[in-house]
Amino acid sequence: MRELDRIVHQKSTRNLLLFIPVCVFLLLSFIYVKGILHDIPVAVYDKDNTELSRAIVRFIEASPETKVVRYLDSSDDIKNVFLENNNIEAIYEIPNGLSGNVYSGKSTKIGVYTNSSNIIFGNTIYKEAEDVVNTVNAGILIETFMKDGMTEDQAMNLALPIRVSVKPLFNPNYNYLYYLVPGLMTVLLQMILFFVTTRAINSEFNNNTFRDLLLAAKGKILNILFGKAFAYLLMGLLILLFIIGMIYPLFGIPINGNLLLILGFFIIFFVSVIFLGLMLSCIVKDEILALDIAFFYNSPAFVFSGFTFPIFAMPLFDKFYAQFIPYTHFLYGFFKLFQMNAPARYARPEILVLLLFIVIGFVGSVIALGIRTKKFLQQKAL
Amino acid sequence: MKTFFRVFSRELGIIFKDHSIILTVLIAPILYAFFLGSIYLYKDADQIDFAVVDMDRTSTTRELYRFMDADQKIKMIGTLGSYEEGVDRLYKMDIQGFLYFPHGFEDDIKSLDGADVKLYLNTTRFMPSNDLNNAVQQILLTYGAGVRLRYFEAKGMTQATAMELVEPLSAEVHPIYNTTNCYGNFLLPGLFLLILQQTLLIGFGESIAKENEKSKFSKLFAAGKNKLLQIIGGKMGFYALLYVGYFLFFFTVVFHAFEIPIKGNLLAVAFMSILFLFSVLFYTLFFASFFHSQKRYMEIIAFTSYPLFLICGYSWPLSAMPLPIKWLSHTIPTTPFFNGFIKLGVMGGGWASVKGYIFNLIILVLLSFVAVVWRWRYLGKKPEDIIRT
Repeated sequence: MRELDRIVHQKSTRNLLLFIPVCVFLLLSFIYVKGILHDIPVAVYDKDNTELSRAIVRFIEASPETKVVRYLDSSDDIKNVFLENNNIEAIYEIPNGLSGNVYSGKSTKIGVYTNSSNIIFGNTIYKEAEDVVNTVNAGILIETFMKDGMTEDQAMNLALPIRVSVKPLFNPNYNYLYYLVPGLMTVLLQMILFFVTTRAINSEFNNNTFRDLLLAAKGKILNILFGKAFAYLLMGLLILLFIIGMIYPLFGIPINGNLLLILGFFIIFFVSVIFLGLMLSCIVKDEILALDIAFFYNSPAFVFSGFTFPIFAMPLFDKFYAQFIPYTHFLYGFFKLFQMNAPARYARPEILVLLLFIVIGFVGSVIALGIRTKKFLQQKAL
Repeated sequence: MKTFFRVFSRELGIIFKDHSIILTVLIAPILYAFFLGSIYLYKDADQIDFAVVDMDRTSTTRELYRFMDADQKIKMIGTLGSYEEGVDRLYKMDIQGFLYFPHGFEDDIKSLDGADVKLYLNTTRFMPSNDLNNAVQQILLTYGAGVRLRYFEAKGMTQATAMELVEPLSAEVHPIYNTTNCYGNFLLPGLFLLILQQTLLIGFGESIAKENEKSKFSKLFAAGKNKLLQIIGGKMGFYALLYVGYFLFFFTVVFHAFEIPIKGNLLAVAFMSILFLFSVLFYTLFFASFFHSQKRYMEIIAFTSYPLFLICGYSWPLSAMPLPIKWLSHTIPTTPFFNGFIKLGVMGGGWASVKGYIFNLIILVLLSFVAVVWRWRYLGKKPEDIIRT
């Protein structure tokens, strides 16, 4: 109760536990509210200008992912189109003689130039361009085979001997809101809890309130640690309630997994972060230095976790370092329970590692606080 | 000038007595650049774990397995016995996807009935699933072209003629400015610029918040003899010089070390960097002056890194953001500078390609300067009152 009172009355903890979740989490969700990129602006340069090339242009125009915003001509320099136009992300160049080549049995290439300085556009257009050209290609082949006397079905089967049905599991529409926002919010949640707990013990010494704390805990270190941890756990759960109860429904972010399992997993994650923060707070007396360390440890957690760039593609040292951040392990369990709706047993490896973090944080806190309490009592005795 | 140097040397004293500011502005920029930059050292993700569920077990499915295994993007971990096993391995995250060959797959191809396969992808992370999707589809399309090739050859055509006919039309995709379309080349420039911005915002702001916390604004104004411009200049002078040095170091050494060339007009890059630097300095002078605790400032500003990076349109396009967010993004220097830098440094543009961004930055520098003068004049008038509040 004493810690909850401190949380309510300390501006710092209030800022971290109220201001950051409300402002930052909402802002992040608004940034990605659209979720999926549609109507990416593209340009078309039809050098052939035949019935076939115009049919290809119509296919490009019909694609929901792209929107033709400009038709280039010979006065345009393709090399400079991206620099001169902020709103063009790709150029389709249909070569001169395309129709003649195709009907005389010569293979022809359609040039697709993507502005890959942003790979989100680059990747989307790459897929879209392949789809458009492959569709037109299939159409031409079907026509050719039917002229050879095949039935439409036979022609289709030869034009596309292997039909691939893609099943994107867990986020079928590749929605960036569902993909990024839960991850960003959970990593910031780790940072919030770590920051508040980083100052939970040392500030008691620096503000000369440790004696009161010791009295309230009846002189028992375990009471101090459990009392504080429980108060911060409650705060973490309140923020989680805000995320799951308000932000997700407001932005339509789906929860695929079992809520109780997810809640249990979050509790383990929160406790691991809280005890690591408390351990730091017990060890480092200087609050600002403790915050510096917390910042250095937490701020790169997202990039090290493998969320956007997979851990297996990182150099060995980075792979190794990533294992020392609870978020890395949380994330994989989170994917399994929250997005994949996998049974709990699949999250066992991550739960075990998080439990190990809890043990390290707890034992470290007990030892460090024990030493500091002893010194404190010795000084008081003098 | 004497006044300026007095405030300047006073600031040096503050910096070198505060380990947090030293860590943030003198150590963190270089440390972070190499520490975080190293994550993307290999630039892209290859050898993504993948499997097949082969219910057909024929020479065709084994051949396709070998093709996939030979692809740079794919690492085949084996053949699984059933769809359920595939899902089990996905849940364990041992694999990022699997391809399901049904019974009769080879027969369907040979009899020209058209064969169906299902490609299951774990889309909890986009990068591996996108790469797998592209790679597997390409392999299957190529295999399909091979089937047509055999058909045309069986009709008596030469291989050369048949090759022309199997794929009358194809797309030749040229990723411009990032020729391998790789993640590292895309993210690293933004990451490096963000490191410079955030360390300056935090370190310099800590010094200002500390003045406020320790009730030292009156001493600062006394040292500056109430000459506002010299006080502001002296206060931010060291950071301005230091970060000019950092920009030079980053553009020449760090970018080079990570093989990121700066392609465009260097003078324009330098000019935009200076504008950006001053806008960040003025923003910090303004916002940090409202904080009465160094710790509180640090705690709050630490959480701005992600929103500032994401709102500027570097990773998620501005055009896809709601209108109020777009407006908001244009009020922060990150947006014009990062986007301008892409035009200059990554796309190789010149002055003309960034005039809009430069105009945006100039407006922000001027507005933030006016805000700083207004705020600091207020601070200078009644420092004791401010301290009491």
